[in-house]
Amino acid sequence: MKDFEYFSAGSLQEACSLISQYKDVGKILAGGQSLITLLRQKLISPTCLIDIKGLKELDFIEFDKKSGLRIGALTTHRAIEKSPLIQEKYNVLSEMEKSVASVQTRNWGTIGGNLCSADPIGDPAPSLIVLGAKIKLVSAKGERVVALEDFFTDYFTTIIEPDEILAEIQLPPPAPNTAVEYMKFATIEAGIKIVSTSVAVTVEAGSDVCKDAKIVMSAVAPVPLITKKAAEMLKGKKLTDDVIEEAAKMAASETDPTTDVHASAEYRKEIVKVLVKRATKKAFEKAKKA
Amino acid sequence: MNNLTTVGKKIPKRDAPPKATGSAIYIQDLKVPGMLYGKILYSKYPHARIKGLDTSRAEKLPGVRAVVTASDMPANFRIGVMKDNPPLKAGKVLSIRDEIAAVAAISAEIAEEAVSLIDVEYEELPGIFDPLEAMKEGAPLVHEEAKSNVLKMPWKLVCGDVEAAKKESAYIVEDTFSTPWVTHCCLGTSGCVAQFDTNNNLTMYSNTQIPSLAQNDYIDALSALGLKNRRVRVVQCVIGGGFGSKLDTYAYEYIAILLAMRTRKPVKIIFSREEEFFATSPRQCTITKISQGCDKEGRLTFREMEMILDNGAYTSWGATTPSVMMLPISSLYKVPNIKYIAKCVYTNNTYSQAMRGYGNPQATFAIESSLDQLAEKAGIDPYELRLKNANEPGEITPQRFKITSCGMKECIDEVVKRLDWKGKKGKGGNRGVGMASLIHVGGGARVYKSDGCGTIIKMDDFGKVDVFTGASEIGQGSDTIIAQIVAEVLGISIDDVNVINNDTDICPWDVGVHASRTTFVAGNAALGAAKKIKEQVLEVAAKLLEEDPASLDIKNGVVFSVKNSEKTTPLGKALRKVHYTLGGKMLMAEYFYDPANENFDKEFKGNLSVSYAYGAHGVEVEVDKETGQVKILNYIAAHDVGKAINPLLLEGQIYGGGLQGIGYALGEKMIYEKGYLKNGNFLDYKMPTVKDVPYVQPVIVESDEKDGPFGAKGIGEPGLVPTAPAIANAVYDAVGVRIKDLPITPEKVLKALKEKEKGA
Repeated sequence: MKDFEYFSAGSLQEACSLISQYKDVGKILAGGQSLITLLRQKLISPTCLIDIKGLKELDFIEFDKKSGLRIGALTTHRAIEKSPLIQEKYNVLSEMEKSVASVQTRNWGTIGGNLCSADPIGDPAPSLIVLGAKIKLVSAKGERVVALEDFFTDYFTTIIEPDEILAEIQLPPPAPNTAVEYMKFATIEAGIKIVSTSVAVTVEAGSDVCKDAKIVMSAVAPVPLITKKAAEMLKGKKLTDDVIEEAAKMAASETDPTTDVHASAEYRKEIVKVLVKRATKKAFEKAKKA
Repeated sequence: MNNLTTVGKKIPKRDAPPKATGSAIYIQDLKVPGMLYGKILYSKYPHARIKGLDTSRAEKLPGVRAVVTASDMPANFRIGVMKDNPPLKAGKVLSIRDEIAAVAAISAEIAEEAVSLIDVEYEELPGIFDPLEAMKEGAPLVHEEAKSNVLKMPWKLVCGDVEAAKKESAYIVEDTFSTPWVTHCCLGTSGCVAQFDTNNNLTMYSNTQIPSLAQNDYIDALSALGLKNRRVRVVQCVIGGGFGSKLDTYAYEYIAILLAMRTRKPVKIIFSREEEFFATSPRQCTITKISQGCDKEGRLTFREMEMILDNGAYTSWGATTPSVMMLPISSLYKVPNIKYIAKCVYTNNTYSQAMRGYGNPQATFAIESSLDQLAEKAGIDPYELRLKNANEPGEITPQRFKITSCGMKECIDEVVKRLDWKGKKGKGGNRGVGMASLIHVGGGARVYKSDGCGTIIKMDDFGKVDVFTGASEIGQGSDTIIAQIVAEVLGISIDDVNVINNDTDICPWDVGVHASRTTFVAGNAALGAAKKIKEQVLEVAAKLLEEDPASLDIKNGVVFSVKNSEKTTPLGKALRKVHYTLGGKMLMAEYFYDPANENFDKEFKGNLSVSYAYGAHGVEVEVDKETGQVKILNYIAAHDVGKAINPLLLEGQIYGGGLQGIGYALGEKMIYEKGYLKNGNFLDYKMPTVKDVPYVQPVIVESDEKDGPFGAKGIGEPGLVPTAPAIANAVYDAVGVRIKDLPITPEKVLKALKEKEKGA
């Protein structure tokens, strides 16, 4: 690891001012679970780190019936997992967080840091995207809100400007008659996952016809992949096993995974089929009861 | 043996509290005054000619104290069992872990930076990475001076007449199995500190598991470096796991010695996790062709095996694993006719080394997988086939092993009972059961001229005991076991026994931690020494109590007369009496135990061990037919251990072995592509984590080995020997596909299922 200058920001305002000053050579340190690894492997060598870990103003989970949920960027994975509010209203997030790495990592790692590191195998992005998440980016010049699905541009790359900080994640209130299911597959439990998917299914009230659906995959493309055609195949239909099976096949054909040390591209596509099928079925059953 | 006070008890490991609290000093923690930090430059290519080497930029970096290259090493100095490995390479590099240069600097960071400033000009050469290719006529030679890539170690075992037996067999199966490179994954990475005194005597702080043999290696190195007749002292820090990886000496140790010589300062080299993955030696990968047969009744008639091992670019003890593979090949079950040939082949891959089981897991995977195929062909339940051919006490096997105690049948029966084999076998529903057995050395192993271990014991004024043993504690629990044995013999509390085990200046000689020999050999050495000093104690006490020594015994630290209960004296009092009396003596005893086992003869036959360990593992799995994922539902590991000196530690060995075996079976593999390691980190290398491991249910079978200390046999390695074939057999029972190439990944299972579907 190369030497760097270290700043501990006392406020979001101070952090914004520091990053605007050091934007070309600096990095924001949140939980450090990805950043420190990259530093140690010398994949990045910033000359300045701005530590925002202690900023209470970015560590919150708040819900409002009308506007929905706001999660501060510095909320840890563990806090999301354990939040009674999230367990009640957005349970998929709590369930998803349980499968993120280990408890030690979840205690340190933050949701904002996870999204900004933009690892295509990241767990939270697919579920947040199907839930319709937006993110607030702030800088010394002002702030903007963008849809999370527009945030990622490539492997480890996002639209964030060098002087911006991700401040919060916003979710609309839970949609009625809707259920979201997250599933992942890894050859060993705590290992790198081969594929994961989050599926949201909305049914017509009182019927078993799918009104709306959204399917997002991770680890099959440089960014979280929204398999739109597969979702379209579910809409307006009774979700029989055949319908779901066909949609799952479509989802697989929409992906273009790579072969690496963990799995071949062909195997990933097989797993996409299985996961989309299983997650859609489960979401559908839950949505009918919702 | 019912009156035992310490042996047979579940006593927690003595080294657990310091390790758990962080007070144990590992080599990583060690700082010696004035110490410099060494760092090694490795090759960028698996096969290349070094056309230019310029260290001037590194030398100029402030804080750098020395930069060394091959030209600083004696030209003919080579390490390894075949002396084919120069610690620093010149001319050509043969693998990506080839050491080209090294630096000593005042900090680890400076050393690392200096290494990056060394300029090497390479001419990349085409490499050879497949042992089958390397064996072909006209293949490029890895070592140009050798005539062939096949190592001059002709492994061949022939017993009986395999060809004749084939003709008489009712059923014969033949198949090919393969196993990958896997690595030890020691939490404590490799490392050492080399330090010279003013007289050029060397102290080596190390985490070796062979202190006495390493001492010998270092003495040879000093001679080569022009320092003849110097003393070498090996001091072991607390060892963070060995599993065979520290059973040899390696280039980094000689580089540290050279840097320390150059700088006249202590030099520390510690491997990073990355280095621990790519620059240490894994378990050898194998390709095994096997054929087995039986008669109509299911009695095994012959076993024929041909094996090819990727030796890598250099030769460590790993190349001798075929000798241990012969153990299951000749003697797992009663098989009258045996033929085995193995070839180790040089390639431009990493070179292999010893790892828990020393070849046995690779051989047993092929044998036990093939045995299930044979059972199916013969229409016999695999359990009944195993039981019918199981080894028995009193047997002399074709390789001339004299089987003394043998609880193999009991182990098989335990597995069958606890797994509900009969209720679950072949019942479908994507669930299945499988089993496999094992034989391993359990009473030392005479692989060197000696298989001995020395022990010195002394008693102080207060009845407390110091035991100086040659055995090394590498986490297996030897300190606790030795203390238990000594406490038991002397009738004192285990808390009054101190075990000193880490300094060749103090401790007697020992061959090292290998071959599951420590409890048996070091245990017997401790037992012998304890008995000797007890005699002395009783003689002293006899004078004091005016009693015949033969009538005296010790219990709870008090010497007493079995005839007259009023005649007692605390141990300390008796000892003080001799120390404080004119013409007194000091109580001290030594004992050297070298088991009565045999080296193999030229035909690789002979009674390698005085006793043999047996076991059987049974597993129930569930296979997800859509993903190929194998889930372990139930795991039974039954082991014949002779006698459990400490059931708690014994269970620990069985869990640990079982889990390491499960990793070998289901996930672990070092992925080498054209000589480069592709998954050299814990994210990409699939070692099971706490989330993955099932409960391994240990079952202890006691067969009371007559030569073992209190009846005990070795258990260090057996835990992982039969794991992979047991799982492979269970997968076959569940979904009808047999994976013949480890590990059994979901992807392979799914592919096999699809092929089976197509074929059906």
